[in-house]
Parts: sequence; structure tokens; C-alpha cells
Amino acid sequence: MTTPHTVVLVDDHELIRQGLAHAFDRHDDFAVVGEAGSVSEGHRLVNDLKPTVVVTDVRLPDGTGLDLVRELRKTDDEVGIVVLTMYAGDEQLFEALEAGASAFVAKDAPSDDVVAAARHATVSPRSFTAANLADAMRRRMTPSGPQLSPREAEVLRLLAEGLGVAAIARQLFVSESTAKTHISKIYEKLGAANRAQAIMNAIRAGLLSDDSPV
Amino acid sequence: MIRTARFGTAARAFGVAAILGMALAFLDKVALQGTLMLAAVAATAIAADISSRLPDWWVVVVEAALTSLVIGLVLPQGVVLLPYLVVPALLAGHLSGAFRVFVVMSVEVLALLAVLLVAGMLEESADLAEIVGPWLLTALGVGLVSARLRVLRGGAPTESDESYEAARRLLSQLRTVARRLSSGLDTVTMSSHLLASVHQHLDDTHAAVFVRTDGGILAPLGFRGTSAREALKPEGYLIDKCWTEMEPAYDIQASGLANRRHRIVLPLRVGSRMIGVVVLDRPSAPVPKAVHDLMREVDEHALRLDAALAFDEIRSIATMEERHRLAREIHDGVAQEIASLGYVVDDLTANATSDTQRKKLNALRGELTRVVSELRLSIFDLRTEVSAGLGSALSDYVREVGARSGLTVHLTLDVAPVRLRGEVETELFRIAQEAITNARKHSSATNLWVDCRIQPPMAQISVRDDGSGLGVGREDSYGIKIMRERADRIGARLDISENAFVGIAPGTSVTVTVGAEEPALA
Repeated sequence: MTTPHTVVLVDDHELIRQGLAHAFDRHDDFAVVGEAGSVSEGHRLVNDLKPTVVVTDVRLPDGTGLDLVRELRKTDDEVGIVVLTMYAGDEQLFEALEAGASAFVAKDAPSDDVVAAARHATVSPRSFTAANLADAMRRRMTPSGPQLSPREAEVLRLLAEGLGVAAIARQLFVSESTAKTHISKIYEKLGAANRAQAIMNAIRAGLLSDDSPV
Repeated sequence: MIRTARFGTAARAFGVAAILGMALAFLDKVALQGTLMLAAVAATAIAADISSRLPDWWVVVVEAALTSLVIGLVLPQGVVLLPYLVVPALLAGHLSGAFRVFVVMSVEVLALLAVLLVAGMLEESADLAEIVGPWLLTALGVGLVSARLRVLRGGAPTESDESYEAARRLLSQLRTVARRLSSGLDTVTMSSHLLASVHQHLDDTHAAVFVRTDGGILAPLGFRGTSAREALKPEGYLIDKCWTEMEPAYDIQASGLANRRHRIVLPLRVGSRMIGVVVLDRPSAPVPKAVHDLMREVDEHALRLDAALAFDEIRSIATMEERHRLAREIHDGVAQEIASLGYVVDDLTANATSDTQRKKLNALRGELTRVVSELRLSIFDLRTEVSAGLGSALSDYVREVGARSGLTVHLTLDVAPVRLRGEVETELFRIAQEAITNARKHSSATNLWVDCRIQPPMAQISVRDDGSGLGVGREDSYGIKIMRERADRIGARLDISENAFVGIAPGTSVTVTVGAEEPALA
């Protein structure tokens, strides 16, 4: 066995730190060398001890663990950073990713997951891993801008194909006035004054793909 | 400081001028000398005020002592100088309030007694008391009046303190009012009262109340009469006219001679501010006198409604802060402790000596993980706001819940860009949250359908699952009670039922609808 990876734990809850320290103790390839309860203390410890991995909570008494992550990442591409949080929500995950973390683990996961994440972090600190990452990515791709009803989406598609009001009405087997109502609703939802604007805004909002004939 | 100095200068100058006038009228030499001395004292005090090097208050105390000394010296001939005793008391009241008026008066009385004692005139004190007494009382009275005026004009000198003071007064009034009113400050009930009283006077076929929301949009608060919702929209030149003129506006809505409608827009005004309008149609032209008489009642309603709207807003701010506080408390407290217990169990599992032990510990770990996930979702619930709009808040929330539970969520959204009132959005969102949480926790469903249609003034959210149905005891459970309370608060209708159409499992359906039917007239 080569020298173990050194770990610094940053969390303001002592019981959590204890639990994590025990978990790392169970694995020969890790050794916890320091524990901190705040961003500033964590920063100091990491600078002094130069650990291979930092495991940090997000919500800390003097700031957010993500600030610590950004700060560390600015000067060091090699250190592994695991973000550990009680917060739920994709937003947290993406913030950790953007701050430069190597892994993201929720606090309801078993401690071995934290160790596994730390191991990943030592191997490739500049990649990112998290449970359900793929799902979160997919959710992020789904637009959350203006929402059209299925019928309106259909009308929008026909509008984008260049059809006139009468043609749209014929295609959908509705009266022209109904088609007009749908169109004005679409304009309203997209904040557009005319067809070209509506289509542009729809593309921007991800309601139409760019390759639709315009 | 400058303003106080100006007031002091004016008061002193007036005082000196008054006694100088009288001294000249009587052509009394002693009185004239005394007046000159008082003028010197006043001039010194003014100079001290303007130089700002001494505290105003001490200038007034020294001035009071000197004034009494001078007057004591010239008594009994110098009785005409006595009115000047009022000046220091007036300044004390103006500067620092009732208590200091008493201090200045004590200084004046003591200084007078001291001079009289030294001059050996105490034997004549009974006679002197008759002359001096009324003026001392006058001085006290004027001092107290000016202290009271100081309180009335806001007391404290800085502008922000004044507005805090005003806010505090208003809030305590609001608290009293809210406690006294049996129905509290409930906007929906108030708008039905308003519509009832309008109907009584004008006998309209249908009417609507619209109030201005944060975004400057007119949002409907209540409707009365059939087809009011279709016929009355918060737009048009009549509303614009009424809004700018702040007076009732009237016109004939020409839609064929047969069913000509006479439309009236009444302003809801509070002082010089518009908070909304009442729009109504009636079959014949209104009698101007009736409209005029009605406006007095409408003004009263407007004031109450404005208070209720403000109260709603304050309540939602307070609730939001409380929710955030709760989230922090759970996050920093119990959630971390249970999470760390989980780590302890992980440790025990790693050191387990038998398979049975390991199995039991694994089950325990599973349970702890479930509890912590539940707490994480609670924290998420408590922290989620509808600031970005009900539609997007709901879709974010549903996605999150879908991701964290075994449920497959089917979401349909039909959301207009116009927004509902903030309080309505919040309550609808919380109802949907509660319904989704119930489905997730209790129904053991596999599918969840969330349909959300927002077309202000109408909005409808329905949450359906294919789970075990309501079961025993769920109808009056805590979550349902909270949903009902929330729905009542915004005049929404809440329908909870078991549905058979989702297949074999009964499933539960919760639908909340706002603005689709007229609220019952109280």
C-alpha cells in the first residue's frame, strides 16, 4: 500500500465529522488529517496541510462551502473536492459543479458513498460525479419558460412552417376564428407582437428546434 | 439644528419685543433696564444656539435661570417683564418634551425664590405670588402644549425614525382592528360585501371588483352575477378614464339596441391613491344621485379593502420568513443529527459479526436514509417560493419530487403570462405541494398527474394519483384541513375525491379552483 490520501473534513456539525472520520478510518487508503467547522478554518487547514481531498458541507456558519470550493479551485487543479449537503434540489448540484467540485453527495447517503466519492475525486479531481446526475441533466435541458398547451404547440409548429391562418384552421379542422384565438394566445404567452417575433422567442425558449423551417 | 435655532430666535425676539412694548408703554425706568438685560440674555442664547457649540438644552436651562434672576431683580416694578418667563418653557417643550418643561419651570421658580431671598423681599411674597403665579402657570401651560405639539409632529428629528414611528402606530392599529373584526381582514369576504352594497344601490346585472397588484396589473378579487366573468374584463377606456380621474365613469356599451348595457366603473380610492375599480353593467342608465350616494359607501369599503390587502401582504412576508426559519432549524438541527446517526449505523454495519446483525443494521440504515430524505424534502418545501411565477415554481417542484421519489410524474401546464395576486399564487402552490406530498407519502401510487391551468382570474390545479385512495381517516386528516384553510383564505374551491377512472386502483384526486365561480355572498 502506498501512502494514504489525506483528507480534510469541513462541517460545522461535530457528529457528522466524527461519522465521516470513522468511515474514512475503515479504509486504508485514506487518512483524515484535519477537521474544520467553518469556511475560514477550512481554508487555513487546507493551506497548511495540503490534503489530497477536501470534504465540505455547503451551509457553514461563516459562509457557504461553495465559496471555499471556488477559492480552492482557483489555485489548485489537483485537489479532490467533495461537496456534502443536506439541501435537496438540482440547483445545489449544478452550483457545486460550476464551483469546481469533483463530487456531490447528499447527507442521506451512506458514509461509504462519501468515501467512494472521495476516491473518485483523487483519481480525477476535474471531472464531476453525483448520484442521479444524468436525471438532473435531463431535467435541466427541459425548458421552463413559457408553457404552451398541446394545441397551441401544434399551432406554433404550423406557424413556423409558414402557414397562414386559413391554412392552419384547415389543417386542424377548426374555424378560422378559433385558429386566430390560438395564435393571439401564443403571441401573448411569448410576448410577441407578430409572427416573426413569436417564432424567434419560441426558438429562444426552446419551444421550437432551430432546424424547423422558418 | 438650524430649524431649532430659527425657532428659538423667533420665540426670543417676539418675547423681547412684547415686554419692550409694555415697558415703553408704562415708561418705567426699572422695567426698561430689565428689558435691556433680558434682551442681552436672549441675544447671548441665540448666539450660543447658532454657534452650536453648546447643547441647545443647556442653553435653555441657563437662559431660564438668568431670566428669572433678571425678573426677580426688577420686581415688583418690573411686572411687565413676567411674560418673558414663558419663552424658556416654550423652548424646552419644543426641544425636548414635557419632562424638561418641568425642569425648566423648577429652575425658574428656584431662581426667583433665590433672588427674592437675597433681596429680602420674602415678606412680600404673598403679594408677589399673586402677580408671578399666573405667569408661571402660563409658562408651564405653554411649555406643555409645545411639548405635545412636538410629539404630534413626529417627535424624533430624523426622517427614517419618523417613518418607523408611523409604521409602528399603523401596525398596532392594524393588530387591534384585525383582532376586533370577527372575520379578520379577509379580502374575499370584503369584496363580496362591497359587491352586495353596490348591488343594493345600483341593481346591476353583474359586477366585478379588480384590484391593482404589485406588477401594476388589475387582478380580479370577486364577481357577482351570472356571466360576470366573461362580460367584465379589467381593461378598456372606461377603466382608464376612471383610474385617471378617480371619479365614477359611465358609458353605454353598444352591443345591438336590444341588449344595450350601461356600464359603470367606480373608483376604489384611498386618499389620493387608486387601489382598484368596481366594474358593473345594468340595463338602464344610472341616476347620478344614486351613484354619488353610493360612492360614500364605496370609499369606506375601499379603505377597508386596502387595509386587508396590506395585511395579506404582511402576512405572506411574515409566513415566508417563518418558513425559512423553520427550514434553517430543521437543517441545522434534527436533520444533521439523524444523518450522523446514519453514519454511526454504517460504522456498526462495517463491523458486524454476523449476517443477521448485518441484515438488521441494513434495515435500520434504510429507515434512517428514508427519514433524512424526508427531512431534505421538507427543507426543500419550506425554502421553495413562487417568486418566478406559479407555473414555473410548480414545474420545478414536481420535477424535484419526481426525481426523489418512485413516482412517475405527468405534468401539464397551461399558463398565461398574466400573473395572479401574489397571495393567491402562494396559497395555490402550497395546496399543490401538500397534495403532492400526501400522494407521495400515503398513497403508495406509481403515477402522479399534475394539471395546472392558469388563466387569471381563473386558475385550477389538480393532483391525481393511482394509489390506494383516501382510505380511513384521510378525509379529515391534518394535511387536508390545512389545504381547506388555505383554499378558504383565497376563496378557492377544494375538491377531494377518490376516482375510479385510473384503472383498478382507486387513486385520489385533489382539485383546487380559484376564480371560476362566484364566491358565496356573506
